[in-house]
Amino acid sequence: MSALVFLMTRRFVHSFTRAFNNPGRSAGTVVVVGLLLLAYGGPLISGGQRPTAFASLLQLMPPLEIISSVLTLMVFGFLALSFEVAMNYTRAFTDSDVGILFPTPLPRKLVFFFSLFSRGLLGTFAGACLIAYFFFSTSRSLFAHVSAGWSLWPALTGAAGFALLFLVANAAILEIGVLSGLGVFNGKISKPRLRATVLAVFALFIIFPLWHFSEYTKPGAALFATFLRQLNQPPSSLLFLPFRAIADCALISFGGLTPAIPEAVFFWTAVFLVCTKAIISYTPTLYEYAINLAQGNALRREMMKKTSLSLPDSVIRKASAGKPVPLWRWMARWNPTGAAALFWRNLLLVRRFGGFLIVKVYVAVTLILGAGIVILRTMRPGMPVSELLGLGGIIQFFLLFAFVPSSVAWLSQTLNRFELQKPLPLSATSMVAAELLTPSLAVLAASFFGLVVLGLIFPGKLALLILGYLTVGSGFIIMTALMFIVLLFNPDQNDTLQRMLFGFALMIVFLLAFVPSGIVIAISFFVHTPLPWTTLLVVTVNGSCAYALLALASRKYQSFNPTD
Amino acid sequence: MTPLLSITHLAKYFNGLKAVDGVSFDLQPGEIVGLLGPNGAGKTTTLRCICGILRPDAGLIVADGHSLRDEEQQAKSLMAFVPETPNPYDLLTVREHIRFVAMCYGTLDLFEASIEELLGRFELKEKEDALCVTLSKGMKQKLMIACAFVHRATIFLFDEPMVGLDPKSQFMLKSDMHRLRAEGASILVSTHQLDTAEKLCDRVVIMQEGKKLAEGSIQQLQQQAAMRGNSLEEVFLRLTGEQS
Repeated sequence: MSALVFLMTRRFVHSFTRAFNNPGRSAGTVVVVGLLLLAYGGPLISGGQRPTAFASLLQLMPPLEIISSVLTLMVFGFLALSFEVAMNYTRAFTDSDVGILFPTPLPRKLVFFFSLFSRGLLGTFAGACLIAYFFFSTSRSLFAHVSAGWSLWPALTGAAGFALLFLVANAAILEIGVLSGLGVFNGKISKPRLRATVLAVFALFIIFPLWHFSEYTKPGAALFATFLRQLNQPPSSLLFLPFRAIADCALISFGGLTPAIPEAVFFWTAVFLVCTKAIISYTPTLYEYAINLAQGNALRREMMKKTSLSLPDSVIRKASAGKPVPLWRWMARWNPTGAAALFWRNLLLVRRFGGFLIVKVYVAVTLILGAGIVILRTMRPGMPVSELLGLGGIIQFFLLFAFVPSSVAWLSQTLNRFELQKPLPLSATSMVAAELLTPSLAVLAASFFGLVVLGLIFPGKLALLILGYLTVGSGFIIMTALMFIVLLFNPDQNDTLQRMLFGFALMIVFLLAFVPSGIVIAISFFVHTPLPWTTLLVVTVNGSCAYALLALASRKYQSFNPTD
Repeated sequence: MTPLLSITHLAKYFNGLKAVDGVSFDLQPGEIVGLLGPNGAGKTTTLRCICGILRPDAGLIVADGHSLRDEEQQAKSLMAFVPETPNPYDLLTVREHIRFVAMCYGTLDLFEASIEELLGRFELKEKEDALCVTLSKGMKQKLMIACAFVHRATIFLFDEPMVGLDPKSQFMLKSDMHRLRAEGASILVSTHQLDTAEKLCDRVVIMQEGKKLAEGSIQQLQQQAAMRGNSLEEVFLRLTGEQS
């Protein structure tokens, strides 16, 4: 055990020291940690003092019940994501473990669980912080709202209880994911059957609350508040109980000890213990499963480095069978030179990578959304257009975040292609522009479809929709450029701290990307600028920001050292 | 003489395919055995089964009287494994890495006593405080070999140990193997370098398609292939059918 603790602590210490060896990364680390401390600590420290300056504004904040529901949904979403990651978990075990740790006489159960929890839970740390951030940032408003005065101990108990219960739940979910993976690996369950079961469970969590909502809602009621409130009512509340209790724990200072908390403590502990026992029953094959994951991870890293290998299995199988690989006909005729050739290659890679799958999903969801809005409008004619438009806009906006993982993967691959790309006789700016444009164009194309659908439903709001489309589209270009800069400072995604820093920085990036357009829109709103002018201003400001960031990214790319 | 390592009817399947199929051989104390075979013959899988990374589907592995299946920890304590691809933990320094391996085997006393000598012998002294991520492939390989000497192993398993090493380091590794043999250790070396195997090994085991094709000293194999006086390379090619 001491050897494993030694390994973990030394790796973390060196990772941290390494973060301060590079001046850029060092500054970035300080900024990220500083912002986090400010964001988390600020509301907590000042939580006891009732704010006066913004008291009137705080009266508009949602009540405890709604915050609790939002937190419940966040916890559910995060744990669902955690499960998906755990099922195909690739970072918990490495080639180093296989060659060095597995042949040692350390008990295999100990090695397996230690690696799984130390790295698996650490990998989900950023997400936990995001949820905690939501809690802290809303706590100030809660202190102003809830009559129960603020006191230190319940607040600390709540924070500790939330952290502990979240950790147990996350560990249990990780174990369920690993257990599913072990079941497939050992031939106990077929992959299609597992996938169908998982989909059925997820569908239950989506369809059931929506059905309940349609039963619960009254004509003219505010959509979002009604939806969130009904999550507190049975039968939806029963379904979400294990997740709600974690949210209740965080809000214990305001809501007190709810019956859900002890029930959830029992539930998650029981799930954890049962899963642990089940995993232990697989002890003889634990290392082989871990090797499988480590090899998958190594292969994926290798594939990212070699563009010739970066094709999905299905494409390789087709090519091996003599079938033509996917190619647009116009691409075969188009023979660009210079930086445009990079863009040509990128399009080809994305086409063969199956990267347009996310666009197809986006289109499908947008069509479902459009149909839903039309049905709601027909069923409840009194429903205000602004709420329906808001619903459509918000869903469209959050759908764009589905492009973030593939964009990050793309940008990581760009850095891995460094040795292939850097010797090319092209300027760094044009190379970086070609790389940043690829994921951004996919977003622009997909959200254009959203614009068309919403434009057909709300033709009178077309100017507003165009403003939204261009704001989000150009904001995404800024976001991609910012992500690339952050990645240039934290290129080693196998380094836990760099990965964590990157994760934290992403949260800041998401906010920063929409700050310029947000400021322009806010000013335009106050000075009553016509919408077309606001749109033009947003595009100009965002374009300038994107250009400045491109210059910065190119400069950093020029001096980039992958082993730094 | 009681063998230090005994492999009996070892079998390992991957998705129904036999990677290793009923392989049996022994290693006597003070003996260097070469494990030869074409690519995909099952050499690495055999070594991985012996050192306990992979669990055999059939067969028995006994290290100095300890069955790997029933007394895994005792058996593993006697073995040192150097993998084909050196993958040390990137974020440990060289010294920490060796220390970590010693901690796993509970041999910190040996680490304290031998670390300076090991760092000097494997030319790692200047890099002792460098992170492994900064090492060249050859240096990583030297580190992996150094780690094999930091616990009280009597059975050494090397998977392509010469790959990535400069001539001087190759010479030193061979000297180390001879020294270990003289001290009574058993060494199993998987290699494609047949000239090295010819000079270094007392016996060789040739594998092909997961099966043991031949076993014996160079002379015995020459007799078996009816190629007396020929090199191991020629004998190997004849036995594996890769020479027309």
